[in-house]
Amino acid sequence: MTGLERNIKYWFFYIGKTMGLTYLMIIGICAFMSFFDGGNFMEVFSKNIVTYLIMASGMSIIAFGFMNVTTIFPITISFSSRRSSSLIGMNVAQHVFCLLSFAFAFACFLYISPEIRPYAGAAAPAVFGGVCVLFFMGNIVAFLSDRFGRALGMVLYMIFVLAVCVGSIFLVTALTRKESTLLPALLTNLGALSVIICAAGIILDAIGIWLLAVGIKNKDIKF
Amino acid sequence: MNTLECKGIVKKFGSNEVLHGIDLTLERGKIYGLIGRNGAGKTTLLSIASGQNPATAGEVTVSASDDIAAQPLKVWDNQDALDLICFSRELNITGGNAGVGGLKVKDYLKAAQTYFPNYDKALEDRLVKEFELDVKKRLSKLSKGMLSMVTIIVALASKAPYTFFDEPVAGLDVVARETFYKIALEEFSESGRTFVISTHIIEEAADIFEEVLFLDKGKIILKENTQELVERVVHVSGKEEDVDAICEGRQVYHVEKIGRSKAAAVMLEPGEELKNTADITVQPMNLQQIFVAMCGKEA
Repeated sequence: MTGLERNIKYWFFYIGKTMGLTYLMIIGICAFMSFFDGGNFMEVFSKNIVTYLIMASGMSIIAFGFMNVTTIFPITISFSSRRSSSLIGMNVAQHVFCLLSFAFAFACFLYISPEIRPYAGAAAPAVFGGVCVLFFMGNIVAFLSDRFGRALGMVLYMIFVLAVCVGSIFLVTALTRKESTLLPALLTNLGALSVIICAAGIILDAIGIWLLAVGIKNKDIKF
Repeated sequence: MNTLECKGIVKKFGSNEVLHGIDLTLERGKIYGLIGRNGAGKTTLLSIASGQNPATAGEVTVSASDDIAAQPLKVWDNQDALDLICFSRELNITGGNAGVGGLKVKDYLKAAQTYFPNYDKALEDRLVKEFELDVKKRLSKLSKGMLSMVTIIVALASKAPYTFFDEPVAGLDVVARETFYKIALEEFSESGRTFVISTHIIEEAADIFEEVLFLDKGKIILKENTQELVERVVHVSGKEEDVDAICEGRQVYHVEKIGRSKAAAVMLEPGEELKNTADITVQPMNLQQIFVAMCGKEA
């Protein structure tokens, strides 16, 4: 096996196991709650699982970003792995498992919302882009906690999130001004808007991975 | 030749230079003892030699075969070279690395099995049994000695041609320490791997070191065959003028004066012998005493 293959194997095992346990717990909670809800079990279960899966997957991305680089990544390096191989393995495994869970949540959402189904094709790229933005946020928290330590990294991350929120408000305000023609044009073409969101998400995701790769390239690992 | 070479290794943390241009050649099939005081740079040197951390300057290369014509491989960021080396670091599960403590021993060992290409699962199982280690426990629940056992198991089972141990016996009880020395020697004689063992428990491990490396304040001050070193360095004491006469032209370490008497650790030429006389007392020194004399501090 090459170094990359070993990393793919290990990170799939580690992230798969961690996420698998989380999802089993979520499915259990949802089934329990749906059983006692009294309505149509599958309908209530699907409704609950969408919310829980989205929440759990989103939180997992951020939690993995926070933990993996500071905890598991140094272990892989101490087991004579190349840094780039470990980073690729980590990101591939995270992307695959999180995208699968979002895809499952999306499918459940379509199951409980038949009126949305005609728009599924147009919305799918936007969902994918949204998940990529989450990956970007995960890699930002990984970068910050690796560079500045967990506590300071988390504080800086909060400041970053706050800045992004404020920036987004300004952006949305600018786009929704009366004289603005861009947003109405995009809203009439949801497919285009979705593709733009998807492309932006992919670019941000790539930036996040690149930033993390640069951050860990020559950094001393500590045990 | 089959060697691992460090050339001009410098390591700085900010403005603090901890390794000052280290040149070192490790040959295949030897057990080296890496001895140095706290903060001398032992772990830093091993982490750079194993390609886990980058050097500020200098280069580490490793030869993968006995073929003289074969080009040595750069260790940094080169998987072919990294596959030849294992540096099982001392596990610290407190402070900034507390997250590692959440892993179970079996998960940690499974990770090692995935990463080391020649990992010997049978040897791992045997060592787990010999050390009576509970692999279902989390690392955070292990004592310091048990954590040392985990790092020893990974290092030995990795079967890496160059294997570095960082304080492997720290916290181990005397039975476990004996077990470690026994298994390390067995493994060495079977496989002919190179072991570098950093330790503070010098006398106990001295017998298994073929060569010793003394690291002091970021510099290798000595690299010598252990037996020859112990034979060559003697403690000379007597009247000041008599001791001075012996010291002249020889390498002298750690001179002590008490009144009109003087004592010094003296390095003799290979094959040279000093005998006790009426005025001079010559005593052999053990490895620990030699190290203390060379680093200029009393034990």
